[in-house]
Amino acid sequence: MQRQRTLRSALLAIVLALTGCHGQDAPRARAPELAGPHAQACADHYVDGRAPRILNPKLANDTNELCFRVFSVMHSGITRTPLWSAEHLEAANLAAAQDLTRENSFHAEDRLAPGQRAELADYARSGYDRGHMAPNGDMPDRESQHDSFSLANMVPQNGENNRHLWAGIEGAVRRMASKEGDLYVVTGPAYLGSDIARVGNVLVPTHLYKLVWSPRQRAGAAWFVENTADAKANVVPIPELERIIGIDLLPAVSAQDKERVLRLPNIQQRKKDKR
Amino acid sequence: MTTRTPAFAPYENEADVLEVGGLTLENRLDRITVSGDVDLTADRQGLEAARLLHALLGQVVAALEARELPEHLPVPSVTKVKNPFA
Repeated sequence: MQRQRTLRSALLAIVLALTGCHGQDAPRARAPELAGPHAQACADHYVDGRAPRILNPKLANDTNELCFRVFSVMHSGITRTPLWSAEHLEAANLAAAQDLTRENSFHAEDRLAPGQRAELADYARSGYDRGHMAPNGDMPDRESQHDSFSLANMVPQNGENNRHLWAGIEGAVRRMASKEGDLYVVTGPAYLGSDIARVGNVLVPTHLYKLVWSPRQRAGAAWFVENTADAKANVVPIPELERIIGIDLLPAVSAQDKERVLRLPNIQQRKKDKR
Repeated sequence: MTTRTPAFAPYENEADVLEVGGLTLENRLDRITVSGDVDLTADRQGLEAARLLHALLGQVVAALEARELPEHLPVPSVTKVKNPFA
């Protein structure tokens, strides 16, 4: 079963690689030498290959879709952050062995125009963490780990929140994916209210969301949390999240199916996530 | 077995990241963030990880001792803008 799916997605990846990546203002294609066991096309990261659809037209300004090996980002040149980062987590990839010590580096995304992207200097002395949207802990190999440290996958995140509550959510999602076999996950920021904080040229989200969709159960739900130190791990149904953020996150899923709420595990604030 | 020194220049850039088990060290200009956890096990691997952290913390101390330090960091500068999406 697993093998069949792997084979099928490999074939799909080849077909999609030939047809290219369909984004508005599609960035230049990744070099073919990057093709490897984990190289995927953008569409592999979305349910039925369909990317989220922006409903609030103001969000669509200066956006670029960026494909990475195991996740895809819709980047906003207005916020200089992703609007979403989409992954298809598969249990087999999560089991990949890790070296005890690993080096990495945060980096600006060179596929984006300098006037639209975040630079390391924007975050310097800001007091905010560079919060991964597609988490480093989900990455199956060294190349994907490097991808995840692109600033196109980051938002300014409260440090307490990032290191405790959010790390707990990320760990819970990995455990769910291991149990379910696979999960689609979409993670991103929300900008709500009349005023928004800014560090350097980067806008600080007021909230963060992480949507989980189980193809096996045909059900999903999302965490929606404030970007603060004492935030709670609120769980909301998918239609409610989509209304709040102004994005149809799962265009391939019917309105009826979106109402079917997946039970998400309780997240203990400040309890360390175990990989 | 000698411990290779990682590319981590304390307080000199915003890029360097070192992960040791579940522990992550992030280099910033105004801080080094250490988060997560690790078991320094009583085996060869544990010794290697301990040496690495020891060497790195030695560099951190040396870098801080070599500079004029304020009592506390200044408050970060965060500006407010009108929500572009509202």
